Amino acid sequence: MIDPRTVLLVFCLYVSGLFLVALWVEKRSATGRSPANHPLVYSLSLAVYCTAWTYYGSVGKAATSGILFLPIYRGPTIVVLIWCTLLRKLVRLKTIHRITSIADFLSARYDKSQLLAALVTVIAIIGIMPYIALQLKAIISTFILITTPMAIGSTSGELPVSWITQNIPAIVVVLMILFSIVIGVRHLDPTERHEGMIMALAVECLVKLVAFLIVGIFVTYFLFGGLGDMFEKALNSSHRNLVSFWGMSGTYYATWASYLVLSMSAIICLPRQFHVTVVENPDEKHILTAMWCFPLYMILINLFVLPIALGGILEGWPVERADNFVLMMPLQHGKLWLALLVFMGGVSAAAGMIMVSSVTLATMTTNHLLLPCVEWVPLLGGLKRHLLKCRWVVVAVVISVGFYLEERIFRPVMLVNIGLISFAAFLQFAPALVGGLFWRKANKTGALWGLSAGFLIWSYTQFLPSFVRNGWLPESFIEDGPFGLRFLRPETLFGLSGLDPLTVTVVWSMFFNVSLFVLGSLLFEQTASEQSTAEEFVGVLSETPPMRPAVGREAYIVLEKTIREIRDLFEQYFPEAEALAMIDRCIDEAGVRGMATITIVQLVELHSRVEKLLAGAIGSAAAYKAVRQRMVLGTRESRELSEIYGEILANLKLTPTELKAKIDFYQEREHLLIRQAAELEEKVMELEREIYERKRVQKALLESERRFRGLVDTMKEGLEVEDQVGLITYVNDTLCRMWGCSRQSIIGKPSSQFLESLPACADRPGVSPDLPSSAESYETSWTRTDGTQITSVVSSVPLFDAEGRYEGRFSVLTDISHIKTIEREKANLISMFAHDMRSSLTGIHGLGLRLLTKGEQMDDVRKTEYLRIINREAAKLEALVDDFLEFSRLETGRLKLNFRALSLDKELMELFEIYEQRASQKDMSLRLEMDETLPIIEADVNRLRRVFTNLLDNALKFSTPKGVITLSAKDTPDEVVVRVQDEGIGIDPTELPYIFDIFHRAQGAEKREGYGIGLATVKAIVEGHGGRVRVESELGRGSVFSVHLPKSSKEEETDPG
Amino acid sequence: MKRMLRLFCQHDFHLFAFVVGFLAMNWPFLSIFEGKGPEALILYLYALWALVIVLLFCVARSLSSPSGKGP
Repeated sequence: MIDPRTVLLVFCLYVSGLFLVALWVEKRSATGRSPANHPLVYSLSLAVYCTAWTYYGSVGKAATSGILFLPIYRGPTIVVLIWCTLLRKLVRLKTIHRITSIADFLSARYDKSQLLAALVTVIAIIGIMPYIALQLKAIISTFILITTPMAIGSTSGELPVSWITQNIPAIVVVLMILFSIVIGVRHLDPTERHEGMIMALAVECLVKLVAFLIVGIFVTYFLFGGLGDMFEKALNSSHRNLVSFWGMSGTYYATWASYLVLSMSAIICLPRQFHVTVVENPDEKHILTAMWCFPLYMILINLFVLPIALGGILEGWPVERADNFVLMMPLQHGKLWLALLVFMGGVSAAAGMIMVSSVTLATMTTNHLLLPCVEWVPLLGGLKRHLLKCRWVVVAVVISVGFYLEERIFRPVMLVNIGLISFAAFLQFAPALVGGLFWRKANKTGALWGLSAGFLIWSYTQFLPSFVRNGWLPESFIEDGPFGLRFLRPETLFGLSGLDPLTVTVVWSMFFNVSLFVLGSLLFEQTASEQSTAEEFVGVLSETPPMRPAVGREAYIVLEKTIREIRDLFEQYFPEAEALAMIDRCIDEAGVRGMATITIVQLVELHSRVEKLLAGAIGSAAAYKAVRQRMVLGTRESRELSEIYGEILANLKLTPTELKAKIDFYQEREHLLIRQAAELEEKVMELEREIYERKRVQKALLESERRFRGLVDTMKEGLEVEDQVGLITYVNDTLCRMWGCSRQSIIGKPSSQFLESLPACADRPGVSPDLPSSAESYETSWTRTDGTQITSVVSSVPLFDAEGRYEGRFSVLTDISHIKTIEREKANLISMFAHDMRSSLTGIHGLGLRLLTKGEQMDDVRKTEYLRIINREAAKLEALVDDFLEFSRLETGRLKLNFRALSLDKELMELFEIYEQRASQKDMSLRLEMDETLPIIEADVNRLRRVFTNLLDNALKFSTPKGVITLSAKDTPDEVVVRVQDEGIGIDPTELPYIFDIFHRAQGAEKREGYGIGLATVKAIVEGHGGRVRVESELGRGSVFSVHLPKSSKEEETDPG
Repeated sequence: MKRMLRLFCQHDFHLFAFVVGFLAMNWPFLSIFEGKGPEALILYLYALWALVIVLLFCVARSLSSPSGKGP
């Protein structure tokens, strides 16, 4: 045994510890960091289901009925499978309606019925009493057991002499009352959530689980050789029925099913369980954790029930004391610390249940019994201000009455059997609760009928027989039934024999409860508010809130008459056809087409459509007035409309003042929103204007850029733009061609590095990052990758931003390679020219000197020969000078033409005859192809002849032996085209643009005679005649020169000098 | 896996499991194991219980997953 003072001290310390935990949690929750709002705390608190009945009574049940204790814990596990729907609905409704108890919930569902709430409260009070008695019995009996040396051997529980032990019932009751009040009802909470209490409960649940597991391991593995050993011993003993259905009565399965049903309902319908599971739920998400944590807890706490029961029996203890096996085993084997732990676990199991149950009952009693009474009896009005104290009184009364019942009625009854009586009482809530959640037609009448009937059956079959055991009723009440009516015997009601009394209660109470619930719901119609509530409760989990139907309204208003009124109204403002069309539209929009009669709701809807349509034409105020004047509502219609608005108001759960306040608020808000919308609209317009302007500028910019690109890409000069660090940001196509690189390979590269990388890149004087602000112009040349020598003039200017900061450079590169070539050729020509003149002059000078000094000694023949040579050289010099003059005229543009009529066919024929001979001398052939008659044109005969001779000379010069030269002429409507075609070496395409430039000599022509003046002369003379000259050539295939001469006469051009 | 997740998230499946669980813990299923001895019966009862807990764990995890539609 343990000293009673020690046990009491540990008990008090434990309870104080729980109080401190509760206090700490409440302080933390005040700061919004409540540790009780954890899913594991919530899950553990649900284990309040496992009370002293589980802790001690399951072993007792196992010792007497084998595995029949199991369905009491497996039923809840099955129900947990549908918690996702069932419990979520309950929790959500609790949150919406601020539900405080199961009575409150049923009342809320069934038209706020106070009668129903009161009935549920009464059933809960009566039903809970045996349960509280059970807990008190467990604490008291185990306290005596642990502190009394004779108690273990005693079968009757003789009272020990210790004062504490003698007075332990009173001490326990007082401590339980204080404990419940201090932790659970210390203050009023509008949400009826007690986070401190829940945390204390979770701690208690943990303690009882740990204690039970430890004692289970102790018994199974320390007192016996494990589960196998115990089962073997049990099967070999006379107690094999404990681990089997064998040998049980025929009602075993029925009892099993009854227990399963009872426990399935208890997990929600027990008031304390409803409170912890639903009311104390802080978050719907916690349900997901509880779904597996709670069943896991129950399987753990049941693991060693059967081994402990077997252990007690195998040790030879009487089955009647099996409720105490859990404590007796460690006591018997001298494990006092373990016994104390087991006792505290039992205290935890019992105290937790008492605390939560008394708090729940206190809430239900004050809310659903006391407050209605206060309303009815004005004298009790003062109690409203003392609601908290009233709850304390209720807690005290409930626990005290529970103790009284334990002392007077339930002392000889086993714990489990007491608990099952309570379960059967709370089973009566199940049809109303489940039906209310899932059946829209369930109504208040059905719930009242079903509950009353079920409760009466329960009272008659379970509660009254307890009075027989107490002697308050005669034994004959059970044996023969009241007044000898045997079919009314409580334990075999209506002749239902062969089942245990609890199953009889379950069967008949459920039969009457469910039947009357359904019948009552079907026989009586729901009120409008009840229907609305039913819709909300059943559809609370649906995504969209359920629509509240328009109920109870008769379609009695004749639509035809209404349409006539509308027509009269419309025809005042519109032509007949238009009025009819508008009526059709209104009918369609109001959804009343084809109806003969309509409801008041539809009529109002129709009027609204008419008014809106009319407002579009005559303004809203005039439309409102016109509709009210023309379409007056009758007395019944006005009354019904008022009722509808009343119902809407009721459904909104607002007083008229609150509604007006809300309307004012929303009107104010609407004004603000309209103002904000107008401001936003103005801003939007401003932005739109800005966007339009930006778009316009952007478009202009794009157009400008497009023009700029077109310009710079087609210009003959290369263009390059660099940024401030010398990176090339833009080059045009010409520069790409000049550099012989692609644009991609140029852009983004540092210009200096890029230029340096170019082969044979010339120096760039003046281009230096150190001197970015100076403009410069310089000449540079480089050799492209294809070997072409390029010379260009670079004109570079710096770029600055608006604030004068250097931004980069802009460079234009002009290709002067051709000019350079001409300059070189000009120098060569002059050199050749001087050389030719010097040769002729040297000849003339030499021969003349010889004639002067030795002329007298020469014969005439020699003199004549000398003079002929001098004449030839002089003629050659004259020709050279003529050419030089011609060149000079061409260069200065002072070419003089003498126009006169010219027969072109005759001229060409003469030329053909001259050149045919020369061609044949060079082993070439000349062909003439021309129209039979060519027109007479105005031309400078000599110069035009020079044009054709130059062309023919060139053809002979560049043709190869056996080559064919074709001279052709063709008359066209506007001009005469003369072509000279050869099959010579041809001209490089790159040279074609420069072929008519002066001093230009084609590649390969260097070894041939000529100064590069001939084709320039041709071009100048032809253009002087108002014509044009074109060349087509293919390298290695020959060339075609075409001279286009206009037919019209040309005015003589005179030399301005 | 996705299919199982979808199955566990369906309310109809929960209802199905509820009905099957209730039947599996009653006559006549119990009578099958009754004839095979006490060890088999107790093993069946506790194994079935454990299985239901595992199923509940899976359902809870599925519903709490991002694609679940639980609370």
